[in-house]
Amino acid sequence: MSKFEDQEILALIRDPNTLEQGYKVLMEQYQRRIYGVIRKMLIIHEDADDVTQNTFIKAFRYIKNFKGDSSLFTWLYRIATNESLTHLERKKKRFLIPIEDHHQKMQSYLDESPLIDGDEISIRLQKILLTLPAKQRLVFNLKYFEELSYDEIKEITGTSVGALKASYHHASKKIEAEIMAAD
Amino acid sequence: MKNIPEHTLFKTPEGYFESLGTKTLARKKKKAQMVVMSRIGLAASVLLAVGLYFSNPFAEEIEQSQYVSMDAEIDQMIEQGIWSADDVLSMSEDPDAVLDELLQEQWGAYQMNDADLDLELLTY
Repeated sequence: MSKFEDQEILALIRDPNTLEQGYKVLMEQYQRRIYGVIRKMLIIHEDADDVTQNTFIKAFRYIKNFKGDSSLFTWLYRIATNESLTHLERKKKRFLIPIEDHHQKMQSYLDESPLIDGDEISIRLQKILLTLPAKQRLVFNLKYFEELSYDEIKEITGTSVGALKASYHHASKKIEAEIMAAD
Repeated sequence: MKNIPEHTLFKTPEGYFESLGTKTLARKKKKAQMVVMSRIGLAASVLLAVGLYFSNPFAEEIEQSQYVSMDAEIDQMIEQGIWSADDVLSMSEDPDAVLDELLQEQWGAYQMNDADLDLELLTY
């Protein structure tokens, strides 16, 4: 698929005759990255699938009001990260299910799911990441795996660059210490 | 950290991304239909309630006094330690909704609730 500029996608969506096509182009262009960032937070494919769909449905609902002050990609990431954190929080607070259960489910998924395919150190890294608070894990993922700049992460999370740097530094140190301790 | 590969270990079922767009658009349509249905249901409930109210003008007063007395009894049970928060939740018809409501009220600065996010997305 050829790459579309944000303005081309927005033009398709703003025209009622090409609205549906615009939605499809938006999804084709961004679905892999959006799914990727959600999956790294939620670990389980079925959960990531559900939240990815909801992210795009929310984007479709509000895209006509998108003013273009940032890139579509930043805007979508913001919805995706917020949806992911909300999903995790709901799982944590779900009535009668202990907090550890969902955490344990994600840990086990890394060991057992056929949809996990990585070497030992990559799986260990994910398990260590799961021990971090969700927001710290999000910052780490956006910086380390998505390779976003602090300014981009600032735009997505609404957090100051200083706080992001501190969060990333703290997470990196903790991961390094955990890896060293296990070796 | 430098020795850790950055490639993703997360795989998707075969053909997942090819069908994701169609699946999402179908869910969007279904959600839109549900919103229409719930609005029709709400309108019907309002009509029914108005109809009942005018057929029995004392109904609201009786119901109101029942609620007030029930709330006072519940408060008393909680204060006396006879019921815990879990007990109250377990007696609710939809405990998840109660918890979600509490969560929305208490969730911190970065993460926005749906209403805040909706508002922000409207003006982004």
